[in-house]
Amino acid sequence: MTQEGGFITTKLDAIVGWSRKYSLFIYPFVTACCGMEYMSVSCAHYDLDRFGAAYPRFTPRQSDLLMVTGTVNHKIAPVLKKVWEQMADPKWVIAFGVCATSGGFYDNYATVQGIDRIIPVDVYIGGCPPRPEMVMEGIMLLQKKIAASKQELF
Amino acid sequence: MEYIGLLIAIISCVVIAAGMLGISIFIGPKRPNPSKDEPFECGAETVKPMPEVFPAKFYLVAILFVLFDIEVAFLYPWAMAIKETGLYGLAIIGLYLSVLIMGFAYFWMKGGFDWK
Repeated sequence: MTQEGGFITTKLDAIVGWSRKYSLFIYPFVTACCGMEYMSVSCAHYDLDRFGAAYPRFTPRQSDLLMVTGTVNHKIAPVLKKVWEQMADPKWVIAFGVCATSGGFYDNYATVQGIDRIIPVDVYIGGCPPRPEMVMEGIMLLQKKIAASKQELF
Repeated sequence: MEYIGLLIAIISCVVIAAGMLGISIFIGPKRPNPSKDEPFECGAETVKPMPEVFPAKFYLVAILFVLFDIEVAFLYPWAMAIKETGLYGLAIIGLYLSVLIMGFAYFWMKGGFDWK
């Protein structure tokens, strides 16, 4: 204990982190074919609900996790940025598939070469498209990150 | 005492929901920005200036549509009851149609169908 009340702060941090990592409400920003993979991962076969991350909200006000699923071109980029800005804090972003991660094989003038040029990204999932297992691994990594990080409070 | 379980269920629902919302309001971070005040339209811009001029001539088409639409809407029930109403019905619908046809003829004579 270096300072007064340090113990309580740490405990609160741990509890809040634990709650946050198991209540990820997803905003599926589905722009391309990775959306099919998102559908399969969020449905009954892979049961994303056991990670607490199966509840898609189609408004950014109620979601914590922005899943950018698919190619983002320069025309849709301002839309993505606005959706991210409108999400409630704290928020996390997953780049789902190589197109969202780095532009993928769309190495051309129309495509944003990775969404981290527009918004901060927490977890990158490779694959074209990624298998549902890879998505689940990405979500587990994100949960580790959330639990380990200093929580934004108040 | 029969419904005490229901009462307990209602109270616990309210307490749990209010508790979760309250904790979220209390410890959740609040970072307001201009985008959050805007309505959500799937990320598209909600307000933009009207770029093109809309031809006012279209209002004539709309008025004419109303004229014929109402006409047809009244012709259907007459057609269904044409045997029962007989000559009387025919006279009434003829009167009705003649009024509408007068309006139609006036429109035509005024050059409403010339797309200038």
